[in-house]
Amino acid sequence: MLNKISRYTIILLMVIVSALYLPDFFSMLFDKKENTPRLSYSSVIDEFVYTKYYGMGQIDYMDIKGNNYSEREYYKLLPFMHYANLEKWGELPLTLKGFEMTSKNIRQNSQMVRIQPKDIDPPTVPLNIMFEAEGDYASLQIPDDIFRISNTIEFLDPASNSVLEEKSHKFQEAMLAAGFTFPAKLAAANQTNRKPFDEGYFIKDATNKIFHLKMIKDEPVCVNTGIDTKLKVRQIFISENMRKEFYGWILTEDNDLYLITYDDYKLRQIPTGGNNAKYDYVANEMTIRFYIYPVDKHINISGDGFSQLIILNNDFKKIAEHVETWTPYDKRPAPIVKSFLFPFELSTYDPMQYVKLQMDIFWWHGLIGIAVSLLALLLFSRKRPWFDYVVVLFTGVFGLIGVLLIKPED
Amino acid sequence: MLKAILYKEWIKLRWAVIVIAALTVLSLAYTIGMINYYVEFQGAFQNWMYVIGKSLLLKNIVFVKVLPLITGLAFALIQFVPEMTNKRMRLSYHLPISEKKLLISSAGFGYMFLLAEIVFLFFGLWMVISMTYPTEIVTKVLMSTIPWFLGGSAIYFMTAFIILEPSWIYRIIYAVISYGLIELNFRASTYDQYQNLWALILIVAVMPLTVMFAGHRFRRGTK
Amino acid sequence: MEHVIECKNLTHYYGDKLVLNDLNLKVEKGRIFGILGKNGMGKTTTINILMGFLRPTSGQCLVLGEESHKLSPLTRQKIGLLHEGHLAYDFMTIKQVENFYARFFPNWKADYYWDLMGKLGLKDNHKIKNMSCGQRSQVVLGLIFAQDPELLILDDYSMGLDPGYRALFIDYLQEYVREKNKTVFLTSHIIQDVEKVADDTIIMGYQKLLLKMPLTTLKKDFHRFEFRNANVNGVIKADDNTITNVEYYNDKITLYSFKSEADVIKHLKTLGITIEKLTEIPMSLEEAFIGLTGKY
Repeated sequence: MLNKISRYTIILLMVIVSALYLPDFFSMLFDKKENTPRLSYSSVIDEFVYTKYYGMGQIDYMDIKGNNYSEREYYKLLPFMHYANLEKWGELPLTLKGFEMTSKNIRQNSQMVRIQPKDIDPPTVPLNIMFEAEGDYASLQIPDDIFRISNTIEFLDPASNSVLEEKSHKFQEAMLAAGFTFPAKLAAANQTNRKPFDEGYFIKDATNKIFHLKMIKDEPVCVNTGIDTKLKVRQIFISENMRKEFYGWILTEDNDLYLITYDDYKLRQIPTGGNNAKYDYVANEMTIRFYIYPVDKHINISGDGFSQLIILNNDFKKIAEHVETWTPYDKRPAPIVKSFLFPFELSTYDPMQYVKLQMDIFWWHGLIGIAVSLLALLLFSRKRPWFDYVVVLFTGVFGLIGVLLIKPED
Repeated sequence: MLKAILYKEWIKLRWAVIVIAALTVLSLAYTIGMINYYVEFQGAFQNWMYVIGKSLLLKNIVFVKVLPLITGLAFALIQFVPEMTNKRMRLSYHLPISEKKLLISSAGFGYMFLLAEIVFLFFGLWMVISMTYPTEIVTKVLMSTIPWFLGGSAIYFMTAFIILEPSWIYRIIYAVISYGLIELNFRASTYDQYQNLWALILIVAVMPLTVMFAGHRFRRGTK
Repeated sequence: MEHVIECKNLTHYYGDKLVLNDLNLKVEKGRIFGILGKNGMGKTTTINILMGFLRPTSGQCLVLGEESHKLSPLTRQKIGLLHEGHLAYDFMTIKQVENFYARFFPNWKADYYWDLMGKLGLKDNHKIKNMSCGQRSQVVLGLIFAQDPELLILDDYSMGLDPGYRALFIDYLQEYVREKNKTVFLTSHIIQDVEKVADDTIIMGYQKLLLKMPLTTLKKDFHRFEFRNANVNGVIKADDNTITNVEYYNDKITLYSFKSEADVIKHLKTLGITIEKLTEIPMSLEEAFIGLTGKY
């Protein structure tokens, strides 16, 4: 009995390894790159345009009506993206929709933010730095302490690896005074000094209230933002920008996005989907980009097999939307063949930036591979322990390799 | 009888155990020196930032990755190669003890020594980095080492299994599987990246069972 | 239990190659059996099966009443094995190896071991690895004696031993076995040694057992006759009955037979060869072995 268990253990290990490597190897050999269009919106002709790459310098520039453009013509359609080139060529228009088109003016009135799955809950060390928001220098000064925030807020002195009691106490008091309830559930900031100014931290407390904590002239400033505690805040992304329209945005558990505006922390929801719910934003799988241009705002949601662009005017009213699609991964030839060959696939790839062993089952297609494997076992290798068939029934070709290579011992 | 087997495995392993322990002490001492050096030249704050943001510490404690692998491999080789050369395993298989008990206890005692080394390394590292870094960093670093220890455990059991297997073709097949199973534990590039670690632990936990199959095949006279 | 070893219809294949075909063998208690066989006759296979390191394709091999490939630990206690090349845990010292084995055997007789080691004159912490083949053979023998088994299976005990150690080995073995009424099953390349020590001989032929009988019986009943006749080359053939084997060398004809001289002459007559007298040439065991199995 133990010998049998032992043999099936080896087969199980073989199945694991083959399911990890074989499908991957198959894709490496046969999968072809999909030429995905890059969708944009031209505020010049008020039309969606896109480029399509065919490898090695072969690029088509088109609008969705089917008109072709040369590269320069195309750049001219997208002056807010290509203003530097246009300026160099002397082709930057003087105004567009009443907006004065100079490089500096465009730069100051544009902003781009992006959320990828890996940004949402990355495996980072939960330690933070607090910048001085109103320092004496032109650029942000790196502090010399680090803080942790959970049950309390504690500033640590790296040189001695000890708590800075006084400063910690000061901050804790300020937070408590503002009505903060420890422990903190979430602390979000833009932890870089490569930004024009610092807005500090947005912190969710134990009662789901969101607080805004900054350090001004070495003193803590903590404000209850008043953001609705019913909002299921998943993550907050802070993006300091001279436009000072919003501090950043909130991603909720329901994949909704809200800008936290400078207008007393009022939230403004931005659309995360268009007419077809199929292309609605799902944070764990898709990337969302928010482009703010002087004359309009573009929301781009891109996922497997599509790119959706939603255009808002400056009053956040939707004025246009369009989806470009291409063959999604599991409809491409190689992945389809793969799903027939193998009943499932193991991988450790995780778009959220973790290493996570997970199984992807190829249900109906996989059954065909399993049937073929079973048939092969029946036809070419008779007289087997019945459990070998069970193994192949559940693991298809992986199990077939296993039971054929590791012969039964009685 | 188990005592006798422990005695035999200890006779084979004792030098390796001492050498590995010494290497561990040296590596830990080196780590102290390295951390001090970085703190001195980068400044404590900047060093913490590198450690947090660029996984600096993780990249500089390669020995924690390598030592369990070396130990697992060395212990398995030292324990089982002498048993398999000139079919010496026949002596052990003829001992008045069931071969399952024999194999499990031999591998079990060997793994006990490996585990002792892992525990030593783990707590040593804990002590060393706690001197300079806060709990958050220490926790993340220690969590990151767990898959490496699983890798060391995997290499021990799989090597033992490969050596005990009498047929060369099977050995090659097992070597391929082993590579895959060990590599699985070294896929992280930053701190504490593994989710569902339990799956990896489970995979390593079933490995001792494989050894029995090799023993059975030896007894059966497979060439 | 009447028989210490009992093999029934033992058949073994390596892949498609048949090496043992329906072998039957019974070994009685209290005797020393020498097993002889030319290379490739399945001798090693038989020994491997007996020792429990090979499972026969079909048939059964009972050792002390249990199937040899799944002996219980208790039965293993009663069997002493000497493996080809005097296998030993050579990473251990004289003392360690005794220490190790002693824990497995409740009837451990350490005196036997230390007596033999005393004669070797090596230090207790001498590693087996650093011993000569002869010294190691004494260690192995000492361990088997101390184990005090009922059955001893000694595979090619003479391999690598110089004549001195070979003689020593046999002396100790004989003394030990006679004194304690043990059963011994041994093989050796050196047939003179078997002749010296064995009570019974078992000779393996191609894929099967050729004969098993007491050595004295073999010596008494197996004859070699010679005569000269230039005209009968090829006429006399080996058969199952009278002529066990025949050799021609120019006009010299050598016949091997279990039958008496008179019976052989009678048999020759039926072949048309009339001869008055055969010359009987006495044989050693080695010569008898060759006579039985042929030179080729």
